[in-house]
Amino acid sequence: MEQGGEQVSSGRLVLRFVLGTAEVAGERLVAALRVFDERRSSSGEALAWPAAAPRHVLVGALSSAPAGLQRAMARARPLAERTGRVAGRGLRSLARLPGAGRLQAASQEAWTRARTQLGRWAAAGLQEEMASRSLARAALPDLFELGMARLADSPELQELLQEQTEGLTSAAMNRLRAYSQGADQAAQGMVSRLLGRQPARRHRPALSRP
Amino acid sequence: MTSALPIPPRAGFVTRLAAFVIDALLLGVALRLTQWMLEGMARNLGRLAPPINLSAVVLAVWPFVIVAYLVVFWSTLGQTPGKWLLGLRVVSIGGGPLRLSQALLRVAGYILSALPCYLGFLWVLGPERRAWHDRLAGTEVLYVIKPEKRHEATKRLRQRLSAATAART
Repeated sequence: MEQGGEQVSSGRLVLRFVLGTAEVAGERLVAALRVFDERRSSSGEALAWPAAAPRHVLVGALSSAPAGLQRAMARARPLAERTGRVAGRGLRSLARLPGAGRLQAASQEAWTRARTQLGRWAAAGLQEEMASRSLARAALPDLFELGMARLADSPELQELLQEQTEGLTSAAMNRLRAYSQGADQAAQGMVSRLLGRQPARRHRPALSRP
Repeated sequence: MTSALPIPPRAGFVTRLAAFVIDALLLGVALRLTQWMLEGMARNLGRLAPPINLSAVVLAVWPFVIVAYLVVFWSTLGQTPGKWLLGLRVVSIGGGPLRLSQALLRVAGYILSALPCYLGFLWVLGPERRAWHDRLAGTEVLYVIKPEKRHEATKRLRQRLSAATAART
């Protein structure tokens, strides 16, 4: 793949593919799960409640962790603001000391540089993510088809499928034959009883097979 | 020389009747198809030549077709399609496949068995499980016992799966 006239390295391409596949597959999975969840809630199916076990504590804690974290953040916000104000006052007091102006200017410059760098990285990450998604969308269907074609061309798989199909057919035929043999015995037994004969032997030796 | 396979018992009445019905259905369908095709041909040919009742010709020829069907299948494969489906084989009483003369005699025996209200066929219900045509031609109908098929690819896959499971554990 070309990007701005430069060829993308293989490592980066693989990273893009992995990232894009994870994102696309995750989105599709979530979409499918939403459909299933809606279907489940609309069906109104009620399951029997199991007895509470230690694992339920862990599951409950994990499922309520995001909401708990949000509440904790909201509680901590006023404290953080107060701390920030105190720190600001402290910094302003420090700025009155000799040489503090230079130090403040240097730290301001470093902070600006860091923000610029972070902005650059964010832009690159955004571009990378778009490229990853586009690559995954283009590659996944073709790779799936390629995989299926490989499987279909595999003589071992074909042999396996053939054996399984033969097995199913022969199992059905064997069942039919077993039924008919049972019916033979039943019919013969009935006739023997009607005629007052000895019931027929189950397996009469006919001849030795050459 | 005797093989390790068990000696198959003689087939009973129900299985033989089912095989007979399947053969009769096959032949009936073939007859109708042939009549239908030939009638179509006759209609087209009727415009050019004097019309021929091809359907009647087919009906006249059909008994010979049935005889050929039975004789050819018995003497070559030992089983008609109906008998194959039900897992039956017609063999000579001394063992081995039917000779042509035996097959022809067996067909003639069919007529003999059918004449007294199919009494000859009902003889299969006896302890010997042999109809009149079997006795006449010196034949018997046996269940085919097939050796179990070796499913190599399935076995290989199973082995691989069990090896992978063992390695993981």
